[in-house]
Amino acid sequence: MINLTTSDNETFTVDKKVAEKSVLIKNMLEDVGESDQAIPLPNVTASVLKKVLEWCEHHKDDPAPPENEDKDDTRKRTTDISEWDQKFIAVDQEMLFEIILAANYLDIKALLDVGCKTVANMIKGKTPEEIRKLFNIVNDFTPEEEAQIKKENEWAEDR
Amino acid sequence: MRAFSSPLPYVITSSPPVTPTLTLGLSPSDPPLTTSDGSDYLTTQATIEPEVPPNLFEKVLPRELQLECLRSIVVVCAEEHEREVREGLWTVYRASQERWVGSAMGYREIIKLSRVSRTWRSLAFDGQLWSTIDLSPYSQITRSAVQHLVASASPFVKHASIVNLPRLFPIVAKGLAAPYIPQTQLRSLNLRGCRHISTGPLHLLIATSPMLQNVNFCASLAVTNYTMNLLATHCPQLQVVDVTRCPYLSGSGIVALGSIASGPLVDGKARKHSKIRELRMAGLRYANVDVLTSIGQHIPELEVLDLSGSRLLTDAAIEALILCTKDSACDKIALTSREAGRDPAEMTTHYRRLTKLRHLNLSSCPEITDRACFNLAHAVPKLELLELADLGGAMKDDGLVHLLGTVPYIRKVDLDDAMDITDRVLDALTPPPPEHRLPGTKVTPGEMLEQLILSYATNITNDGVLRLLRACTKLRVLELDNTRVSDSVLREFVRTARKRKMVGAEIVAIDCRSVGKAVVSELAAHTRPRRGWKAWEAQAMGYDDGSPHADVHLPGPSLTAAQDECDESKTILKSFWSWQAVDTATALRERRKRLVGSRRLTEGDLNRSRIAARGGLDPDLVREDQLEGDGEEGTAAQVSERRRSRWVIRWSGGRGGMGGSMYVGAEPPAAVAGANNGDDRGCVIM
Repeated sequence: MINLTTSDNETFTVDKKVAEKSVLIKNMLEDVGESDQAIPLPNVTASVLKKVLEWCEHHKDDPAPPENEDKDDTRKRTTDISEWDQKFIAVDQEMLFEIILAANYLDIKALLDVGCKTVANMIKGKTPEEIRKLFNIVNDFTPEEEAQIKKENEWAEDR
Repeated sequence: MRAFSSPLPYVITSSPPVTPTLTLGLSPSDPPLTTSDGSDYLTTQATIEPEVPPNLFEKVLPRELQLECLRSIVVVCAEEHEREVREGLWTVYRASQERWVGSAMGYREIIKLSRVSRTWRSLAFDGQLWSTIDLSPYSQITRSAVQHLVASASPFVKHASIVNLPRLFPIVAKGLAAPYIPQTQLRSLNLRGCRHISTGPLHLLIATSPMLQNVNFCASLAVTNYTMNLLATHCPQLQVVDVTRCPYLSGSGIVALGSIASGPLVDGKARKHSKIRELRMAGLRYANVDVLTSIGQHIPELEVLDLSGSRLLTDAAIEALILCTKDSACDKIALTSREAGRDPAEMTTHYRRLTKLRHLNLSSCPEITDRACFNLAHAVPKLELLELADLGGAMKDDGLVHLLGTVPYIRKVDLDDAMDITDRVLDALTPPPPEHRLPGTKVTPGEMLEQLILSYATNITNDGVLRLLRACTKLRVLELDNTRVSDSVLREFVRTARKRKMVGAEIVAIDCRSVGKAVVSELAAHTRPRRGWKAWEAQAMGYDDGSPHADVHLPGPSLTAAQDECDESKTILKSFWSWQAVDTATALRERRKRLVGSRRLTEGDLNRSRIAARGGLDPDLVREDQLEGDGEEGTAAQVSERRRSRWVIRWSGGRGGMGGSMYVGAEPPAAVAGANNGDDRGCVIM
């Protein structure tokens, strides 16, 4: 069993196999060796870590992802988001972004993928105005600029 | 007209460095964030009301992860399309409605995001998303959009493709080879179909791209012999070169390409070798002995060589490709006179260079005869694809049989128009049954055969073809236009293809006098007349996928479901009679379109009548249809339908939006139908 301490000083005790879904923790364990001391995770809060561990628990038996993938190749073989993951990731925006952030920090590639794809699905197919509303973005273009950019992108708008 | 004379100034400004420490400590218990702090540099107007809810996307996520989310859009779009294809949800109807699919849709979505805000504009054009710039699907893209894209992405671009978009070349070339970039990251450059582009920017781009591996300059006027010099000098990693139909390129350019890359010969051996694997130069001027000698000596890794359409290419040049002596340092093979295709009484040993060629195309080279085959025999043991089409009577049995006996891995043979060949060639490609095979032989020629084109080979017999297709278990495509084959070959091919569970099997028997209508209808259940594909570009072909929405714009069961043209498990059977079937199906579809349209109006279904209106419903037509009735199959009506449908096919190149004019055009008054079509169409559009 492994102890993990979050930024708000909560301690989680998890199975080693679950914790090792995180490459960061896995490497730490390899470097430090097993000990009773808790591993500090100063970048993750308790509520987010709870959620992340829930994911790790469910996916603890998944095969390890293949390494060699070229980062630039967007056409890499990937899998669709599973039903369980879809339900898991149906959270509010703040939690979603926090999960992405934590997955990146803890180096859990598959969870990062799920998070980013969820955001991508939110963005995809929306008009600029809808996206502004979605993320509370302020339109900081001047009307002239906006007209110019609209003209520049006309080709992309129609089908 | 240009929208901008210079790039917008704010494209370059990157978003502020979002330090993780700022955001990482956040927890749900923290007070909600407002955009007023820290976002001053995001916006020009710093006056933001405090009640504005926080922009968590930019607040929580660092830029790297924001980009990762945007990058995921492409992945998600590609996956979605793959899934739909896999699950059979992707139909001809959908393909006619959705132009952008897969990653082309994804990248388009990203460009659309540049309209959201300044920060998002810099995100959308961030070079990390654009290591591949493939603009080929976006024929309407504006120059200014490309300008912004290239300006911010150029240091990252590894693959650039602007197929058939020569107007974008100046912008792309200028952006990629910008003065502040000492060398580009380009690995591949595809300028296929960019005919009128200028040589200067192209040469500059080549000279600053030392990592180029793959270039395609097909049909470009900018390519000269000096371009090849530059490629050989500056791009040591070059592997694939396509200079098909470059009119200002000649043989000496190709000589330079090989020899400069290899450097001077030392003791008859090149110290370094050109890495070129693939050389496509169809239509090359002056493809002579010198050129082929140079290729043979300096490009030892060559696997694909396309010399089709070289008017001056002779048998002697092909011999030069494989010529070597006993002392040559290359891989070679020693042959007896008989093996070399010489007079068996000669007691000399002949040496030939062992090439790595897998694909050789000598089609449409009028000087080539089967003497070339004698020369190539034993020198191309890895050959898989051999194209010798359009050589007419110059191809004889002797040379072909000699060559085919030495290429066990052969997968495709194209002998179109080889009118003098006989069953001897077929027998050379027919592997013996397994029980008669000599022990120890691994692969015999014909075992791997997938495609065979024998059109216009009038001397081959029905039995010879039957023997071949029974023995070649991998044979997938067989073209037999204008030959003496009869019904039995068609039946056998369809039967074996089903038995072997072939995907995409095809037999072509157009203009075969012995193929009757009966056999085509007999095989109709297991065949389809065309190789249908589902894409936006394919809609003019009107493929039928047997799905409920097969009729473009129209729901309802398809009348032609029996000939699902997109079912890969069915054999494609092309014959005069199957063309007629396609024609009839088109006529039926047109007819149905009108019938359904008329019924919709009477039902008063608003939604459907909208579609009917888009189809340009003609009131006269409604009456005609109502008179015709539903199940009526009048012969005279059918004939006239067919005539109209032809007319429609000619002008139905447009897609949904064009439906109106298309439809009206389909109903010209009988007197006008024979008149000038162009005039008709002009009227319709107005």
